Amino acid sequence: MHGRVKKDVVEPSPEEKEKQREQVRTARGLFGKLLELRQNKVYNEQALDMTSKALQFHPEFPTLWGYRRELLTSGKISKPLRELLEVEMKLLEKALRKSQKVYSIWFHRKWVIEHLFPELGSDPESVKQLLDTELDLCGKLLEVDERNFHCWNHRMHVMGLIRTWQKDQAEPMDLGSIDLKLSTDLINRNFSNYSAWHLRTLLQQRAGTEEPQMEIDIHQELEWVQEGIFTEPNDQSVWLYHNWLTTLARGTDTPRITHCVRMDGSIFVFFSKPVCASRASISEAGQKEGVEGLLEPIIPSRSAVQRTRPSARRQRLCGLGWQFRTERMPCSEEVRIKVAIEVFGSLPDGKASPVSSMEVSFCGPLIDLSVSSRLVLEAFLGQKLEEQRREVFQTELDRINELLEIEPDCRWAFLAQARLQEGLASGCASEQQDSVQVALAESAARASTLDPLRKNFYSDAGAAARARQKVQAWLAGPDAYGSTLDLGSLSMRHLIPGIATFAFGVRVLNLDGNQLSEFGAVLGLISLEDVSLSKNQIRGDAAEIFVLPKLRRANLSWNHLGLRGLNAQPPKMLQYVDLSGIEGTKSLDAQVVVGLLLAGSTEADCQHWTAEVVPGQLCICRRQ
Amino acid sequence: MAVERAQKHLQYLDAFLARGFKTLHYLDQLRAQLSESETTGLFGLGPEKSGKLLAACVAETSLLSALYWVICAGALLGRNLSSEDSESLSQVLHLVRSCRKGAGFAPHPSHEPDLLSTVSAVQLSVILKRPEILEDGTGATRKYILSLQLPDGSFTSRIGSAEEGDCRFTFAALCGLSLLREPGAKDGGELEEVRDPAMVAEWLLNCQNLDGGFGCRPKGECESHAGHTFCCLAGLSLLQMIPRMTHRSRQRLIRWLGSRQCEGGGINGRPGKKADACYTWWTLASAKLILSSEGSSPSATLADLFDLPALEKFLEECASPDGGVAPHPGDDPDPFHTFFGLSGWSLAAHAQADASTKGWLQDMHASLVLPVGLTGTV
Repeated sequence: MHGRVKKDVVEPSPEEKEKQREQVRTARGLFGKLLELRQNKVYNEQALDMTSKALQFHPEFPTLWGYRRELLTSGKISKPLRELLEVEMKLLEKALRKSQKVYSIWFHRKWVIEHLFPELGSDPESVKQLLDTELDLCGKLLEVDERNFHCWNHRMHVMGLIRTWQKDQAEPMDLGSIDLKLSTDLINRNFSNYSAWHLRTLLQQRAGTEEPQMEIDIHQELEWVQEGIFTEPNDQSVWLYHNWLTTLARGTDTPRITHCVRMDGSIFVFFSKPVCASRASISEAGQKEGVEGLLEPIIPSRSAVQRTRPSARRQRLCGLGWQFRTERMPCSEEVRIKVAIEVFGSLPDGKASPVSSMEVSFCGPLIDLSVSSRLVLEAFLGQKLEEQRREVFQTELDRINELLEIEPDCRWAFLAQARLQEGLASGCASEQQDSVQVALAESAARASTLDPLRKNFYSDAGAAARARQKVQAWLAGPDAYGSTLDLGSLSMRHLIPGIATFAFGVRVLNLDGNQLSEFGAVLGLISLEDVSLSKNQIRGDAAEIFVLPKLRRANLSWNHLGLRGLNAQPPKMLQYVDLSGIEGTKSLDAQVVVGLLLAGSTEADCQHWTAEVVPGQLCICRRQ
Repeated sequence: MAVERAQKHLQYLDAFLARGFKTLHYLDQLRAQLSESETTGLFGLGPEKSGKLLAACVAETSLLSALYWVICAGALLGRNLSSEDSESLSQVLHLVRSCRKGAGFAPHPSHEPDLLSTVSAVQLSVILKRPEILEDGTGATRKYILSLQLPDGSFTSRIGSAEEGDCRFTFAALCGLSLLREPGAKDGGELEEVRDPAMVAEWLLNCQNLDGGFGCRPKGECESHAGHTFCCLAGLSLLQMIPRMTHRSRQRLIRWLGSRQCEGGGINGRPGKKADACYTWWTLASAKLILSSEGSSPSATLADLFDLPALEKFLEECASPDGGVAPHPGDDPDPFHTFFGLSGWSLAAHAQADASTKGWLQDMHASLVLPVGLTGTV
């Protein structure tokens, strides 16, 4: 069902019919005979010869290629395997020149190479020859179709095999340069060749793991990329690569700890991207010995909104915020924290590696949330870019501004401008960041008019910029944790986890009138006492909000929530839940509502609660 | 208008089917007349001459899948072939039955069983409401599919051919197994008969690239491609493991899918490629799966990600006036693009508020690739 387009089965025209009859009859006979031979497990040279002839006529025949693999490994053919496989390579070359996009032919090629490889022993000359043959073939096929992904994938696989092989070789071949040259040549021929750009990104991600090391000079690279951008400002491929080189930091962006806070006698550690953490150690300034402890994700895994990724081997979770469990609390304000996080890596040949771990360390304040939000604000404003990256960002921003003067409607340039501005603003003062967020929201609105096909992406970006502004202003206030964080009516479709972690410690949060579709990151804000989520589009069960342990008041009215009698224990201090207009309450009476909402608590507790219900309009539950 | 349009496409499919059976019959006749000595006669012919001709024979290597495209496209257009007492129904049933080889199905009666043909047979048995064409109730088909799982969790296409796992086969296997599930287990939990579903999920998740799309095999070895993205995502969906994707990889994927729509409304399969009708399915179905999975924003719909009216306009241009859908406007239609073009079109039509456009196409199930009304009937 995933095959390519097959040609129509055409009935022969009358004038050709007789001639075709003869040909079809023999062809059909040959194929039929071969399938019969295979079924009878006949392995001999004659069969090998017949399949070879049949496949020359029509190479799109997976079963026959499979038969050949059986023949070659049957041990019944008297010739040495290496010789047989070399014949196979020739046959395949012919087949590939005829049909370049057939999975089964490419698979057979891969199989032959994998079996030929051990036959070559450790003779570097033979391996080099094999590599040359493959590169030559792929080169020719890419000339015919520069985006043929079968060919690209095959080439990548062969390079991986050789990379693994030459690990123990005294004089390894410089595979990186071979890849780089191909990528450069193809891109110079056509700047829109995304496949060639893809190779270029993989190449740089591998740098450092490979011998001899291959480094691409980023300044030269960007200059070359800019040539392409100025020639064809609306080409997607080159902009994707530009983004990868600049904002995505060539895929080398590793997770870091953004900040650590202390709240109610516990320590919480926050990361710049989701990590899978397990153990950590914390030491006070000036001390060498750290205290060991376990990390647990803040959002409990039983929650329906836990959308993190347990690894296959161990049921581990990823998340941005982690609670540090330790017996002994540090007393000092400055701490050093080391966290072991799991990495889902890959081997040079592209296969997934076993899970390894890396250490992330942090040296800085252990912020006491009961004192002030000033240090959290500092963390929120971020770190300055390293000098070298800052220069790159500035140069690129200047170039893009220049481009926008010539091409004021180039949306790719707009988006790149916004990303670079945001990167440059990191670590700067509040006022500067505030104005950048305003600019970001504006460019999102502008991009939306230029590219209405994707207006919703831009509307999300605009909402995120406005939310950042609000959180920043709230943190800068004199008594953030005693005041309301108002994120109402920002058109947010989700509360961005990376912003929410900086609101940790908030007691009163207003998210009314957005377009949230789930509780999401709200459930990680375990300091919340009063949350208002009225007039969103949240689905799920109202009682899911009970994971917030300090909750007193929750306004969940006018959402798509249900009330299914979830067995969740309500927070001890809970007094007030507004369920007006919620689907699940429309046709229920007061007692049933209370029963369903508090399904997880004891009967005695339920008796303290009453509900005020006006069907379709009002449904408020209160504790007496 | 809508009814007329559906009629044209049905006529195209009928004509194709009739022509196909005629050709098959013709080839069978020749085969019957064949004597052993003639089998070597072909060697005397030049490759060019025979090549053209052999296309007919070689179409047999995906015959059962082609049959599924044609029959399923008919079902999508509202035809209920299973209740008809027609010649074509009996021809179809006869062909599917004669492709059965032990526990699996071959693409053609004279070939050997493979995974894709077996899954096509399962899908056909659902559309035609004929579970009995599959097996004798011993779960043999299911066992056959399970036997194709490799140590790393992925699936291969046929027994004993040492093929490596590939996301297409992995998806196809999961799809077949889902359709063959015991009635009691329907929609209930993971596919527990698969060995280590978490490992299968991890294998599929590892096919995702940094740009957000998925390649054919894990870990950056393969460039992102809309078809492979669909296979990985639909596989994850059938395992109920889309929630294992992190927030970031979801966002990246959604952005990658949203970027597939080109000027002119059509959808391409990779950055910088031409729009093609069949990518409407791979891309929209992937988008529907990620948007509707638990943990995503259900408020976002296909209409938020794509300009659906512009897409429908492109598909209208690809549709031939005599029925059938072509890859690009002005090309000749073929069953593959007709099926996937119409399936994608159905997702686009059903995602829009205006009910008048939906009528002529049934709603498609995004991971089982069958009309929703038919799923769950094996």
